[in-house]
Amino acid sequence: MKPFRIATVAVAASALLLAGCAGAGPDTGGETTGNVIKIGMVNPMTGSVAWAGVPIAQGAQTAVKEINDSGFLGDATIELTISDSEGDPAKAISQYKGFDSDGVLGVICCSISSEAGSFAQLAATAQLPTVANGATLAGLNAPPYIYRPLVLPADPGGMYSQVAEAVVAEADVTTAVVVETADNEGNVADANQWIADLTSKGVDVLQTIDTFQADTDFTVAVTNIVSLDPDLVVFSTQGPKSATMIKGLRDRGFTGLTASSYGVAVPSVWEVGGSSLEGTIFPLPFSPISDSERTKTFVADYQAQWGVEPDLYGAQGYNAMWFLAEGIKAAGPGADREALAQALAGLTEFELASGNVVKMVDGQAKLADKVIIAQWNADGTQSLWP
Amino acid sequence: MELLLQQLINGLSLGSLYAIFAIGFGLVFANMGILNVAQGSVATWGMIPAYLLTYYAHLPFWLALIAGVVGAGIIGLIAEWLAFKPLRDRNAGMLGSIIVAVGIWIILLNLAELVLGPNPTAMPEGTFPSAPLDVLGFQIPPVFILNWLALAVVVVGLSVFLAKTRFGAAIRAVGFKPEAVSIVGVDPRVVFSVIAFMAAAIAGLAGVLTAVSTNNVSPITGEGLMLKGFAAVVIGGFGNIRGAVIAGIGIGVLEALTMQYLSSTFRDAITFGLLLLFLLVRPQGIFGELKVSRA
Repeated sequence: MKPFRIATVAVAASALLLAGCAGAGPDTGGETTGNVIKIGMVNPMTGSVAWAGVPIAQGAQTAVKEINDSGFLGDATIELTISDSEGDPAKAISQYKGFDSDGVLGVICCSISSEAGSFAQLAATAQLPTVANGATLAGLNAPPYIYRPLVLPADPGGMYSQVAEAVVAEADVTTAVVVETADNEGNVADANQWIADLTSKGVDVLQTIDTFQADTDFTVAVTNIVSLDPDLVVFSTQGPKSATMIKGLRDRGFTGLTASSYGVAVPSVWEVGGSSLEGTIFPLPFSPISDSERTKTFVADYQAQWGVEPDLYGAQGYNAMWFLAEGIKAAGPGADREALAQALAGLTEFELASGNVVKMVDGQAKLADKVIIAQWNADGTQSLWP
Repeated sequence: MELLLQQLINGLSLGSLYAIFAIGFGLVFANMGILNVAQGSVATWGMIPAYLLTYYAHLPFWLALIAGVVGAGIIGLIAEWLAFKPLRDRNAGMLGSIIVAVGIWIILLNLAELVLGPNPTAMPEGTFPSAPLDVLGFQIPPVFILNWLALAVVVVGLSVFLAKTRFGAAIRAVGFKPEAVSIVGVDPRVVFSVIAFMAAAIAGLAGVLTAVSTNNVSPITGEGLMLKGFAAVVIGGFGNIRGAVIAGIGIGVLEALTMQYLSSTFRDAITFGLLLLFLLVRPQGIFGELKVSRA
């Protein structure tokens, strides 16, 4: 093969450099170096779910700053290394293994369910304490090595059940269509819970429509929904995609109710759906205007660090890092992975960024409180529903 | 029946985007011998200036569209001068151009992520009318009409240019033998530059129209066009405009009907199954010509 010209080499080198920067793997040292505790984080910073991954990472970094600045761990400080999984499960697994071999004390992972599926086995094999921050995949929690301080919205009687009950009671809903992201196990499980709840209330679920994470054109799905003309359309999909479909429905004259998983709650979704989102109903696990002290501290610190208010994904990252820190504190100075794993297992309660205190049952957060149900308004604000 | 016809209309619009993209992709492949896997990212980079100009400068859509098309064309030109021409001068062959195209793809994709950020967005509300027109009881969003018009303009314009102009003849000739073009007094470097600009501009047009049609502006907007456009080129015949149109529209209609009457799960499987079938049974495509090499 003849040698390439300099320009060709430059193009190839630039591409490799940019790709390398985007997908940098972990380069941490041992579990604890001096007073520095090394924690790894596998997170989609680029790619199709970066809109959630970036605030999750920012929330975790805000928590690290709070932990280090407040001396929460005494002389020890946390050093958080974030690897960009790009939303690719194979990359996520590879990066997790990299953190394991680099000897970090613990890992934060699993922003999306498609990444999370293999981590239970990996964590058990590596005996590496792992805190899942956003994936709603059922059964992910597996003490003593995997914990999830995230209230599952699709728990029976949980967020989505409460929304379904309220919608049926308030809005005279008799027919529904449910839209799910078919290649996201968490979204599928959520959709199944929506269907079960609606069906139990006597609602006829006319059809479940499958979409996929890589989809950007929903014209066919929207046309199908309009033809079915249900009283209610429920979106168990990622927020921006829900917003796109809701806009498509409203453009085509659909006048029924729309409800969604909480992914539609973040402000960035308004950029996609605009005023078409008016009236869309969703559960709100975190609001930056909550008057709890925990929320006020989080919001102030996040805003100071990033210049914007945190959303519910920022809160997820924040919760995961603080949960891990509480385990590290409980394990004591110089703790190894096994000590941390046992300490995390001993945490029976945890205060979320929302101010809610959850019970940790078998490594999974359980919320007893009623969820806030909100809706988008025509001017881009949110208010309580009904 | 009404739903079937409505989904057919949807498929025709979707297919027209694939066809527009395939025409540009095929132009490069047939006349420059480059399998430009970066073409999808070029489409995204046609969308980006259009989005930025409508969002920040509040430019009217038509001006933003032109800016996006020209911007994508310039990117194609830069890629030609900095990457593909040096390879051609060294006779690096198709493998070399594919490798470089992958590099360009990664660069453009990462730059798109830097510029647009992590949050998917959309063209600002009111950029282009979104309320569908009622035509004989069927809903036709105005962007569908724009897609069909754009396809017609590209097809007619490019066909006339290639068939009826001296430069068009030079473009057709340069794919066979660049030296032959010099004989008639046309600099092959200029010809390649024009091909690169036109192909990228067409991709940029597809990118802008896709962003409006799907209400989606993200770094991966153009990636969905890449695979389907490639399939359309293979099925329709490399470098054949008529084939790209028929195949592109056919794929769009097939996708729409598959999603409606089978499942979205089978959408890509059917499209690429068709691609595989053509590669096995008729590799030259519907309208391509089979080339025979003698030992």
